[in-house]
Amino acid sequence: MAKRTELLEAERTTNFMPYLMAAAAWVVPGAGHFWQRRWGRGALLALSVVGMFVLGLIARGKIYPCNPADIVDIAGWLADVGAGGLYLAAKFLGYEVPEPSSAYADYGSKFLLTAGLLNMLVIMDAFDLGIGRKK
Amino acid sequence: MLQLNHLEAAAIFAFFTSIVFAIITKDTVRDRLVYFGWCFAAFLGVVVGLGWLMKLAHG
Repeated sequence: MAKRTELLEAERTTNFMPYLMAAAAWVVPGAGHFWQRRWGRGALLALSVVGMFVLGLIARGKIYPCNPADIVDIAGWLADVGAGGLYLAAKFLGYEVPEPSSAYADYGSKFLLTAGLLNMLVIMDAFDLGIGRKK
Repeated sequence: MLQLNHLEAAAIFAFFTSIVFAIITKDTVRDRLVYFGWCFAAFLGVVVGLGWLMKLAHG
C-alpha cells in the first residue's frame, strides 16, 4: 500500500501523467486504471465496457457515421467514438451496418452507444484517480 | 446469432451500466454493492413501469 502511494505520488508530480492515463483509458477501456494498479476496479470497468460493445457487435448494431449533415448521426458517432480502441478496431476490421435490420439489431446499436458513453465515464474516473481527486 | 427479447436486453444493459455507476461513484465495497442493486432494480423498474404506462395509455 505504501509503495503504491509513493509510486502514484511520484507520477502525479509530472502533471501530464493523468492525461496520458486518460488517453490510455480511451484506447483500451480500463487501461487508465491498470496503469494506476487499480486491478479490480479496472477489470470490472473494462469488462462492462467491452462486454457491452461486443454484445452490440454480435447483435449487428449500427455504428453511426461521421455525417455533419445529420445531427443524430453526429451525436451517435461521438458516443460510438467514446469506446476508443474498440471503435477503431471494429472500423478497421470492416464492421459496417448501414441500418439495423431488426429490433434486436437496434438494441445492438444502443449497446454500442452506451459502451462508448460508459467508457467516457471510465476515462474521467481514471483521470480523477490520476490527479488525486478520488482515492 | 444470440437473440434477446426486450427484457433480456434491458437486463444486460442495466447490469453493465449499474456496475460502472457503482464503481465510479461509491468508495466502499458495501456501498458499491448496495448502489449496484439499487441502480439495477431502478433500470428494470422503469422499463417495466413505462411498459405498463404505455399499455394503459394506448390499450
